[in-house]
Amino acid sequence: MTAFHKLNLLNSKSLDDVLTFTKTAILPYYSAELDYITPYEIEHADKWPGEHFTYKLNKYAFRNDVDIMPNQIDLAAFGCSFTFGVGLPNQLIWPHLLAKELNLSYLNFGVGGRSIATCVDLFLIVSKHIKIDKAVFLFPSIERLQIAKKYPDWDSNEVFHLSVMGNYESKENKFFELDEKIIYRALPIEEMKKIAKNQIYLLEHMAKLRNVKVYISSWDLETYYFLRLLDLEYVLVLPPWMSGSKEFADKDKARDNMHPGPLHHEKWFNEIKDIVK
Amino acid sequence: MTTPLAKLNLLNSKSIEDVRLFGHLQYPLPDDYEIDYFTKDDGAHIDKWSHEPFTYKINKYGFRLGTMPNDIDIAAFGCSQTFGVGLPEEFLWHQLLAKELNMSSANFGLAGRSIATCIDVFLILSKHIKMKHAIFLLPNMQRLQIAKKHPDTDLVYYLYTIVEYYQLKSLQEFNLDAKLIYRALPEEEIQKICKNQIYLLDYVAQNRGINVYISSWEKYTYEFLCDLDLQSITILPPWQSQSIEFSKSDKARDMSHPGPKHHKKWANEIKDFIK
Repeated sequence: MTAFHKLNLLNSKSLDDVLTFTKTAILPYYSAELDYITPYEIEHADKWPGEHFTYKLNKYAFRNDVDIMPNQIDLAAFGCSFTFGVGLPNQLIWPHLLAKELNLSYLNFGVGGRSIATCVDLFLIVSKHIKIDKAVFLFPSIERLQIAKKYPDWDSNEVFHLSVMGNYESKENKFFELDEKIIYRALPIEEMKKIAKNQIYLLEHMAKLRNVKVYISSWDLETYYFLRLLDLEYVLVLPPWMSGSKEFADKDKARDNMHPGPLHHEKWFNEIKDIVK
Repeated sequence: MTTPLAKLNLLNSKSIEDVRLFGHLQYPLPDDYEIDYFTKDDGAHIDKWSHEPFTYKINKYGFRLGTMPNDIDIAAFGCSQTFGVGLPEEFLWHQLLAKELNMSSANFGLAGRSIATCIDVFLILSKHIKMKHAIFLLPNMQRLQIAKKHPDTDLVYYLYTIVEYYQLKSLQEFNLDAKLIYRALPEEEIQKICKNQIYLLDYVAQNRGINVYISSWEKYTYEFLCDLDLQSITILPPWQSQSIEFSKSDKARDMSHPGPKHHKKWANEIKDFIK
């Protein structure tokens, strides 16, 4: 993995650079098969009507069971927990449904809890080492932030790219002594929008250069409207990820009883498949 | 007409007017103007100034320039030291350098601004102005650029925060709490913002065929720059005073910025790199 100072996202030297964005300091999410990802999943496991399933994570912490990544793929999926598929078996989440329907090879680069900035940073690294034909992004809210912080140990120089969410105090951020409340009090919403739009314009620029067709959307309506305001020339904005109604949202849940369930994934996949093909 | 926040693509600026939001904090955005003193200190120490009186001519983009050039040999980017707070234009490092090398030059320095803003300004200007060499005398990396909407208009401005200058009038006008920002953001986040911007500068400069040179007047930032894995950018010698006596005896008119000898010294140290 490249040292923090030397990590040039526009010219990554190794695929291992993704680890600085996917790695967590307190949870062993690498090269592992896990029964559950969050405590909510264990709590609500009895309500899950489907078969028991596990999460296979490769050495980069992506939801793929291969450690040796291919040189070329048809479809790359980027996003947060929705794309990773927290609470759902792999075959029910949108990247899998899309790839199967369109008969495409694919990899899922979704990482739970990450921000727009991190999704784009991961694309910048991955697309330098793997030839991608199409990249589809299902973005989280614009208010999610990426904050770099050194491991809280005097002997360590390792810098982690942490995720900060407006309404959530994470154990990891506490461990790193990062105060989410102060961050949100300090930074204006326009600064968050600036960070997001600069990243998306950079995504567009690099995608064009690397000949990757890019599609973006969001499950957060305010973020989706902001995406539509951008002056994009090459990136295509897909329909938003939405529940059709409150009843639909309440009824269709993942195993953790928080994330959207399989019908939501199927709905969005059906809405975007003709645009992405 | 200024571009709204969402439409401002720094990698593909559509108009040179985009730079106005980085150069001015007043509303409405001003036209060209001339002022006698740039800061309160600049006027307060006038009796100690031993050279001819001078004024600042500032164009509508916020630069200490007349008409914007279409084609330039040396484009100078930086903060107050490049802008030249407390000094007449002919004493500034880029003017001395251009004269020595028999080249044309333009001053795109903006007082108080951060590394991020220096590079954003470069990204916009280098899309509209042909430049052969771009030289950056960067401030310390703790200076930050923060986007915020003007409380009375819908325009988003690119404000700047400086450590220990928490009471800047512009921050108060925009209700921005700089002290809180420095409490919120870890040192590594500030380093990340800086290094990502510099790598972007490296990439764009190479892409647009511009020779880019960087340095800083702050030692810690300079050492950080030296540690980066740069492809096309040349790192120039640091801007430094050789002694405390030199630093104390050579002051600009405001008695806080470095004086003409510092500019001359740096111009001499870097001239052989630029040819």
